Amino acid sequence: MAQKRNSMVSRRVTLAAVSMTAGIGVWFFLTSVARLIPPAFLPPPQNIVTDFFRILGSPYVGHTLVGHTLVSLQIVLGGFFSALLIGIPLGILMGWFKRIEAIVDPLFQLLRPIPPLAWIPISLLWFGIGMQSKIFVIWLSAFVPCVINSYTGIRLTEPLLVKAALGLGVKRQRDLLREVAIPSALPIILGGVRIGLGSAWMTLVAAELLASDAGLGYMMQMARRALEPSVIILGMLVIGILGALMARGLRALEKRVCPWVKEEEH
Amino acid sequence: MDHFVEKFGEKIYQEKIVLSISSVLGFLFLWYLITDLFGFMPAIVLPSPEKVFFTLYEKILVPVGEEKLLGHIGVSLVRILVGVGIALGLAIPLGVLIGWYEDLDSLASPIIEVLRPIPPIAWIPLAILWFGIGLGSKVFIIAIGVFFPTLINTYIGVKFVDPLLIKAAQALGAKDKDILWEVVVPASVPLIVAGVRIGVGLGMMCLVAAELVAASTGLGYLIMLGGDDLKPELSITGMILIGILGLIADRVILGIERRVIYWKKE
Repeated sequence: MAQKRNSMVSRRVTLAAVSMTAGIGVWFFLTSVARLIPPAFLPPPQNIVTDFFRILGSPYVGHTLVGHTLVSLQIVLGGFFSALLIGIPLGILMGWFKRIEAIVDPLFQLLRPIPPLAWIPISLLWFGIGMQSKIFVIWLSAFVPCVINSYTGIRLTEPLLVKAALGLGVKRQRDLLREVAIPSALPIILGGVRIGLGSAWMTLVAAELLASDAGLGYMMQMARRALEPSVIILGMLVIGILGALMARGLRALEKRVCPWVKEEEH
Repeated sequence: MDHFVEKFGEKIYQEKIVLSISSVLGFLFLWYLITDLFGFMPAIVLPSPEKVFFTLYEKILVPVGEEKLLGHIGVSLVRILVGVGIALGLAIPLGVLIGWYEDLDSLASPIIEVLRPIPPIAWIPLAILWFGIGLGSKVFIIAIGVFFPTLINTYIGVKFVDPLLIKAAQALGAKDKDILWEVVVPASVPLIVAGVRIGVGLGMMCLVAAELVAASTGLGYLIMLGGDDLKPELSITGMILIGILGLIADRVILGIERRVIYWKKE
């Protein structure tokens, strides 16, 4: 049985390696050997590597690759963490107190269908093209899932747990919230945090494409104007890798904070 | 806490309605107060609610740029429908194939896992370089946004179908092909529809982003134009309309879901 499993795994690994190699091989062949695709359209893979080292060492439109990455990271994290700070407590309060829910929820439902990206132009009008306007839009994009999931998580608290705690003599609401409702809502809250992080990245890219003077999105937009697709692809890769790393970090945190939750299928 | 101990159920319910209505009215009144009545906010920063309403009404009759308001809505609708159509046409069959055939899964997964973390919006510069600023680049971005959630959900739906169903069909003498089409695919429809729903939500964001970055028609263009021309009322009009469009799209998918998977209880 174990042997069969092993051979299946190694078959998987082999096929995966084959497909990666074939993918890059076809790309290399089409762009570099047969030259069916012009480099201004899709650059050969080796150009991306050389461009990586080029903009790692010397500045490209103002900053090096690391500089642009740091600018983007600063904005994403600023907006993201302020969204957590405000969104999670608000969601918890909405889930716990009916009056707060009744006041906040209708406004929230009114604003929620508007994609956070659509706020970019008006946010530029309000805050200018500096960091503030981007942080505002990113805050908004991460805020919504944080509120919704915290709210849902508290509302989904098993009533039996609350009753049991009451029966065991928990008197103060604060204890009930802290010891029962919030721990039981935690997995859902963290799910919202993960969704928020994803939309924060998306919104950042859009905001930097539109109006910026530094950052990965800006670098990609300038590369488009200069017809340098290899720099665009580098930007995409860096954004993808950073996003994936952060999502992975959050998953690890989730596992540590609520070890009782079974791992999802994928 | 109120949600779990409902001593005054009826009373709280009535109070909730009153609070909800007064919260929305209060919001509109506050908006009116700071713009029109006291003029704390100049109109080029935040226009008054009635100005937004009149803009909405006026632009139905007076063209903005190349189109009147309905024309812009129509253009955005065509873009989203074509993008969604292409993405579903590719993602669902591919998802079924890689969910069902293990070798195909091993071949495709590495490439999918490399591309998936890249936010669809980060494809915009490359899409403009490849397809220009016409319909092609917008459809491409939207299709990428819809493609991945649909693909992943289809894959999970097919891969993790209840093995008992498959065994039962085998025992009744079904062939592999029949099991796939008669058992596995129908059983995974709920997850597929859920993926489409997530995808279309993401697709709406991609539509806005693509139209913000480069377009001369569409709702995203209106939002951008409002920011550029210091006419925030035009941006807000566009934001409201895109929100309504998103809500309608979501409702339509929910309606289809209920019709297609009528056997599944709420």
